[in-house]
Amino acid sequence: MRRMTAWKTYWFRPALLAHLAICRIVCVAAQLLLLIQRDVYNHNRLLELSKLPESLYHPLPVLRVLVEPFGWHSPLSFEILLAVYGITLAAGVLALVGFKTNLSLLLFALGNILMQAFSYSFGDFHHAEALMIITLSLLALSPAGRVLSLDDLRRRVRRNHKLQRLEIVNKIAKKSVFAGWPLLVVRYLFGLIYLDAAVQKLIKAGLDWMNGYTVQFYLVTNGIRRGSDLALWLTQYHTLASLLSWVTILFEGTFFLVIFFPRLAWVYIPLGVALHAGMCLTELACFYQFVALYTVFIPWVPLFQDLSERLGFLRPATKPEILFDGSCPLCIRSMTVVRYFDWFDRLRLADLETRWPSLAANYPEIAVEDCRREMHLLLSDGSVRTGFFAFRKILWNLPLLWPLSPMLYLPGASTLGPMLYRWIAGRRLRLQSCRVGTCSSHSANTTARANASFR
Amino acid sequence: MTRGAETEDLTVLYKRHVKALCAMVTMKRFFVKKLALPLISLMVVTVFMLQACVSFCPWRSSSFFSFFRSLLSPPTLWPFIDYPMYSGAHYEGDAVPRLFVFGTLEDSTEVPIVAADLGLSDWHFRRHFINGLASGNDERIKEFVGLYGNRHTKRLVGLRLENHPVILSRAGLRSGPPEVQKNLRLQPPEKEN
Repeated sequence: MRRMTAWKTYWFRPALLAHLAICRIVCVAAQLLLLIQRDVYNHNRLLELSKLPESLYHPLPVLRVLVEPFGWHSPLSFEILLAVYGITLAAGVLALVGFKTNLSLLLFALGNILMQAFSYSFGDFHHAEALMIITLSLLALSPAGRVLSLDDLRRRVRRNHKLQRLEIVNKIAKKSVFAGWPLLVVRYLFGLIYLDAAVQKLIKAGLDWMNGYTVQFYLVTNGIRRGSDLALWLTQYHTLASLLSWVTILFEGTFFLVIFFPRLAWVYIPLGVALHAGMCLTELACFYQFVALYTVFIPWVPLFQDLSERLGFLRPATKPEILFDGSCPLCIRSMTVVRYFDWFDRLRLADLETRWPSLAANYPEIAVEDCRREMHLLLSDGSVRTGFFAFRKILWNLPLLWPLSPMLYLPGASTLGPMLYRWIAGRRLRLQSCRVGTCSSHSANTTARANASFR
Repeated sequence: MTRGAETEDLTVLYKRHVKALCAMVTMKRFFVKKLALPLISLMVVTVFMLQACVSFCPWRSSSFFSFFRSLLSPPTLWPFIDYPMYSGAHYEGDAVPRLFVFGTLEDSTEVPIVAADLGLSDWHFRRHFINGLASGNDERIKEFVGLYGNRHTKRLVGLRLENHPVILSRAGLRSGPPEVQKNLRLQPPEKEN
């Protein structure tokens, strides 16, 4: 009973969901990038494999399990592989942004398993991919999309819509008993894998592995095969090769210590990145996935909070203030989205009804009716932006949404943008199921006033 | 139907809906509280067992465990695999092979053959073609000669595998003596009637 409790306490200790979500984002982004960028993973590779003689095809058991129920016993055709590739990419994008996260992660993991297993079924084996595949599968079974995801954003928007007010929740501080185990498992797997690599070297070669010639041999072999001049150049330095082999063995053989002493991550992770980068540059044996997976060792949330404190100078002393209509569901939804992406706490949101009495004296040029008609942004220098221009300025304060900014500066955007904004703002009634009477935009007076001003 | 009866029906429907929702929430809570933890624990243990088995299995070198060896040896359990790469020791004076393949065409001209000529990755080229050539695997050689013919519309009548090794030394690398490892005359394909 005590052991059960200890097990439960260790594996199911409440952990930050944000950490799990960041790992999801990093792992999926890295794998997506590899699928798109690297020829050994993308459609060119699939085309090459589909042209290989059938006699070389020896499907792995996992591939059999995936494809034989469909009656596919021979190698998959390029068309099927291309469809799988497309679906995997789409699922990856959805998993990255966290839309139907568990389902999209599951599809992404399955797609990767299928493509990789197919590639391996022709005898071309590598070691970099397996751990990423296991991690993606574990993430698919975890609450990796509970925060920092579109799923979470939709949940909050629905909740605020139901409450009819803007409820602000600290998404970074949310914890779950199911948030820790996937990352712990991956850490242990890392420990096992590195230990395996060290043990196999020591069993097969003993201390001779560190004689310098061994590393020279592998540098030359890969340098010749893959055409790396850097590897061939390095082979001239026997002492350096010997030193590198000692560092490698010590790193691999003791990496598991990071699991029990997390502070050691600050030594082992940079060292691991350096070793893998060195291998990639010299031998062209790149373990990109391992480097991306190191994310499970990084305490993202404290790091982020610390960084946020240090970068405090980026935060303006007086924050820009958004005035929104707190009784309008569309405005509440929009503000929920703005709040969700305001990671650096750069904006202040104020309900017009409660803020107006204290504001009217400072901004005599603003009329409350105008504020009801379109969003107003009060800047720290005392100037005011309204409607589309307020929206454009808000985006500048939300670094996560910066990729959208260029669209708002396209030629003609300054003319079309305000028109589109007014069109949407004027149709809030049709676009939203407001409780008529509570929303200022639906009250007879406001509508009449708004109509009058548009004439 | 009167307005009162309609409201009553709606109330009944609403109550049923709420009951069904409550049942679903209860089931979800039951699953989370009672089943999720044991199932996840089982999965965690399975994952560790699989990785530990393929990494540190005692049956790797023992004939006694031959059944397990075939069942649990990598890559059968992929993505659970072992990591034995670069594990052999090498010493001063060891030769690093550099293998080159040359083909002879019908007009007696000699052409070097590389992975790209067969549309193969470097790995497949070495593993399947060069190994096949070195071990004299006729079937495999025939397949790749056919592949070359299809891609270049030229027929190979001979293949030669040469090794130009480099020798490891403390000061760096030096060239070893080249040697012809295989020299094959290929039979012309049988003509179809």
